[in-house]
Amino acid sequence: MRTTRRSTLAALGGTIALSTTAGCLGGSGGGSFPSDCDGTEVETVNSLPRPALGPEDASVTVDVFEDFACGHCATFTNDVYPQIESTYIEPGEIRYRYFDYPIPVDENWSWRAASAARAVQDRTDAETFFSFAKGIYEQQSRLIEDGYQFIREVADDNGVDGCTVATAAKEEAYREVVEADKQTGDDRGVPGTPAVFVDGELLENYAWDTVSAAIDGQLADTN
Amino acid sequence: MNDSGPGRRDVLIATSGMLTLAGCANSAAVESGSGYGTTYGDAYGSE
Repeated sequence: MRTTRRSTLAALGGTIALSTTAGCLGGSGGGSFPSDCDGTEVETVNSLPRPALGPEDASVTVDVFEDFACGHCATFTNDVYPQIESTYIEPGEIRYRYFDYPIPVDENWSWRAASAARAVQDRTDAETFFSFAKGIYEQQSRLIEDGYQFIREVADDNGVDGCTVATAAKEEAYREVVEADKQTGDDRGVPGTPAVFVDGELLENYAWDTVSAAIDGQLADTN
Repeated sequence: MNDSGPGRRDVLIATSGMLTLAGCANSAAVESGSGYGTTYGDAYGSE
């Protein structure tokens, strides 16, 4: 179900103007919401397909649970994921599935960035979702410096209206989708992020050697 | 920046005498002794 919402600064005079100028968005900071994005409408969405790459009928499935504010997830996405992509996803050997798991490392941006990424997915496709996520993880520290503007820029870079995506972050328009993923992670015993499962088996860490060995082992068993 | 939240922990696992970074810990898992981590830091985004 989708519910139309409007990100707006109602005419409340000095109070709103002061908070906008101060850029205070709570304990984790993150900068002001771009004033020229005010009035952008987003819908609240409670279900989306799973972001996934690779053939649906691949013999091995890799599930990864991540938190956009987790430094280890940035390390995984920036250093390990490209190797997974080139070695297994692009050749069509695995199905790679993304799950949100906001611990939350950051009480605000773990959720907001997840909603932003799902807004990108909702307006494009899985490939663009992963491209957006990569853009966030590449400069992750900007989430707590100027999060809304950062999200807007990365969305624009991926061909999606930045104000819409920043508003989705602000409104947490995909919170129910993200919460459902987190519940899945809890049900599967996710102990932290990034949590990597190969054919349902939780790996002890996210190092390339560990991940590739697990995938190779499963590929050998299934071929 | 507020690093005091219960979920904002990085986990180190001692493996064969070496410290291997395991990830950002789910505090509930740490408290339940899941084995994902035995010791942790508290820096935002640290590795």
